[in-house]
Amino acid sequence: MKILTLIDGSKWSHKGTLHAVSIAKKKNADIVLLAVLDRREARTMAFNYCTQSDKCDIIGTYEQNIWRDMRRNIETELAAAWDYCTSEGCRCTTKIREGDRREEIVREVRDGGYTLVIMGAHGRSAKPALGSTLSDIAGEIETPVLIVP
Amino acid sequence: MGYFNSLLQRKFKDVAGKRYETIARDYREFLLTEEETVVPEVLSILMPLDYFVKEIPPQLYETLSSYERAKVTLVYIVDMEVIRIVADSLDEKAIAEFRRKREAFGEDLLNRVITSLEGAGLTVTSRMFAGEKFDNILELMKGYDLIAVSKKYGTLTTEIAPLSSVTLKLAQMARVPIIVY
Repeated sequence: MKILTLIDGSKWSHKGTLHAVSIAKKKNADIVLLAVLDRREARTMAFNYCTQSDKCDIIGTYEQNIWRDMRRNIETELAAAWDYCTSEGCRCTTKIREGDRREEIVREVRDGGYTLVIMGAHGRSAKPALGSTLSDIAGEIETPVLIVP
Repeated sequence: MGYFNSLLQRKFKDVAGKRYETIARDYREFLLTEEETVVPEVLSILMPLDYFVKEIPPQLYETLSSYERAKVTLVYIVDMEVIRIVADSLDEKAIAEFRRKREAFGEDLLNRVITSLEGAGLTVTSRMFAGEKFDNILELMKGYDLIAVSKKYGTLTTEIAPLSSVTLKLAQMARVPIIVY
């Protein structure tokens, strides 16, 4: 058995990790912790900063810094989740993909031969993430998706 | 526990400093509580089925088998609204035949799923009735630890809308983990 757990740094993805470990311990499963980084988020934040602060001369640097921090944060996040998985005796690997969230997740699921995908019911904004994300992902793959509220 | 404590320490507690307690209270929806760090044991699983659920992937059985102490309840619902629509156009005999065929399909599906679930080591009960696919399941969901629902449940799905609107709504309203397959 092979479980893909989607990590975005929210408490719901932490809960997803807990469920993944719980199942993996019973089924001797492998866990892959996946984070997807979308450069457009950094561009959006940089552009919004420019329009709101009137400091557009540093927009390029600001975008680079945001992108660097996004990557650093998610690496730390994945490392912590990996520590937890391995400390519980599970086989665990981490992956970061860059690009459109839906496309990258679907590609990973199709290429990875997973038995189960685990995702949180909410994203970092705490708003329900289930509308488009679930439609986009569950509709495109054959693998069951466990949604953790 | 160490995992989450360290995350909180790193991400928030040090930054918030003296205001930690206040902020933790006011923004508690972003933080894991002690209770949330424990995965609740799954002892009951609800699995709605209907005419649109033709196949169940083997990965679902493998996943459900990890809840070895759980009892699975299969619920096959014949849509009352469809029966009403048919009743508006056809005679009693045709309606009875329509219902008989839907129930025969349900019996066959239930038997196949029961065999597979029992083969995965799970205890299974089943029931079939005519009702409202969304309302009845929404009400039933309250008594279960886990829901497993097909992405085709409740409505006809298409290539551009591959996830049933009934399933999406159930997933959005579930207060327990839900597996969409």
